[in-house]
Amino acid sequence: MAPDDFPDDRAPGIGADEEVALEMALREVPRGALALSLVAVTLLMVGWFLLYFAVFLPRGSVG
Amino acid sequence: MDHAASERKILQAELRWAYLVGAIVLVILGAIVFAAVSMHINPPSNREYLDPKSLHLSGEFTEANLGTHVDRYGQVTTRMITTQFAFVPQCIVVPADRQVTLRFTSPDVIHGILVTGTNVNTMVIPGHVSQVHTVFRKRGDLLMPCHEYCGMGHSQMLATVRVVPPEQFKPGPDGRVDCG
Repeated sequence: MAPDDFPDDRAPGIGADEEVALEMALREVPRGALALSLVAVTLLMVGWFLLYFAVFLPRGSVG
Repeated sequence: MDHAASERKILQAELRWAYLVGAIVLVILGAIVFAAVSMHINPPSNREYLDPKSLHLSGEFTEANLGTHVDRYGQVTTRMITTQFAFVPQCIVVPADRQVTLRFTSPDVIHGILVTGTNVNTMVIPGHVSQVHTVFRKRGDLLMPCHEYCGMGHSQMLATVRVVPPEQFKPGPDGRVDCG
């Protein structure tokens, strides 16, 4: 199918109502993704600093 | 909301995320610099070369020089050869709470050492001298395994680092201390 068959940037087979629904979903989904990412990165950083302060530093100097 | 607005929102979110990641990288780098500057925790970075074919014949890694030695200035140096599949000597004695220099070399293949419960950890490469300065705080017999696969007997390659209190660390007249 040639690109000219779609005058706007709407995906093939998606009507105007579906386009609105898609926009709504695109507004909501990133919030969840952001929350999940923040939780994951926070846990990672907590783990890193836990090892840094509780294991790495007490093991003393080396070089 | 039109597509242009959505794109702007996505771009803003990505930029915010990039700033957060940049801040995390800076915090981690700061922690590494803090450990290096104030706690003297650095990766061992000694560059010394010797001939692995003749290290047992002359120089500092001959049999008589291996083990722990205290020089006339009080500097404690331990020399050890890592070879398939043993450490020579198998046991070394070092004082607690005092600067110790560990020197390793290998006549055959690449080995690696770590002392459990400490930050001592280095590769031992034939033709090079690996040197680590450290202060042992933990006392007792610490396990020192080879941590670089060196052949079929790798899992049997273990040594003991005996960390004794300073008052029990008594070098002989020749400055040598061994596990006895």
